[in-house]
Amino acid sequence: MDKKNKIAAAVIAAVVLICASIIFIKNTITSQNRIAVIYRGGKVIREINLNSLSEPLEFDLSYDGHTNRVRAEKGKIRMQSADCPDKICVNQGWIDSGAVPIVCLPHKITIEIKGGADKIDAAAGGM
Amino acid sequence: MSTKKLTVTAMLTAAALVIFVIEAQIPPVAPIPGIKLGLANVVTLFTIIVLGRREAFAVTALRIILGSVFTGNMMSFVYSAAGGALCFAAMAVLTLFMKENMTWCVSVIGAIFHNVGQLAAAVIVTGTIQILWYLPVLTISAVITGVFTGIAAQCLLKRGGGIIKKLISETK
Ligand SMILES: [Zn+2]
Repeated sequence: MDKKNKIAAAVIAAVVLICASIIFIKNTITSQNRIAVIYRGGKVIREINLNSLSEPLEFDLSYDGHTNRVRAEKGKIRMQSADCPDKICVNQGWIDSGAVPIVCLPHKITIEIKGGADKIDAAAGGM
Repeated sequence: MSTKKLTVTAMLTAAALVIFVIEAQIPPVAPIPGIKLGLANVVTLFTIIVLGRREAFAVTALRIILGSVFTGNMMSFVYSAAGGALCFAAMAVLTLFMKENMTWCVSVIGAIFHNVGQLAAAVIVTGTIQILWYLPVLTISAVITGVFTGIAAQCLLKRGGGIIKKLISETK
């Protein structure tokens, strides 16, 4: 390995380390106060405090004749079913931290877990 | 373009398409259609170095257009095109000053740019900036697959690069 190759390898290794740290930090921060935020086209459409859920919550998001069914349980949330063509959102399964959000690209719906303050009422759901 | 060069370009396009279609069967690592291992990038990289940028652009553009038709997924076209364009641009520039023994590095940076392009397209389409949280995960996966495809391209260059270069230059 010549010098240029060694430098390149070191820079790339550093990038990987930074990325791994970001994932780890985001994961840690968001796994304490789990606030699920549902976005559609960039706008917040619902917020749910996952940690304070005493029983499972299931509801539909219906827009333009398409439906995504969301299921939330204590500390976690998933896309239960969807009529999108790729079903990638459903296949993502449960998330219990903000490491990566659930995305339904065809329906422009995103579910992210944020580690916010413990103030959102679970029943009201912030509609 | 000489007939030999045209034939080699067509052959490489076919190879890229086969890889692309096979790869489309592998489950995605992120919820964005078109984000995948990027194995077809071996061909783009090989073409840039052996034939040139113009030919590599043709191979890549044809792979993305025909690939979307063959896999029947026109929705993924926007994402594939955004990723492919950024990846190609990055690799076309990097190969100007990185020698053949650094092809693995060109491949890794190309793969990262590929994902950046696709994520940017997804953010624009959905208007949801939160999708960018996939960037760290995808960057790590791009490094892993980029090294793999880069080494594959380097091996390919060592074995077949010289022969094809010679073949084309014979009839100029
Ligand atoms: Zn979906």
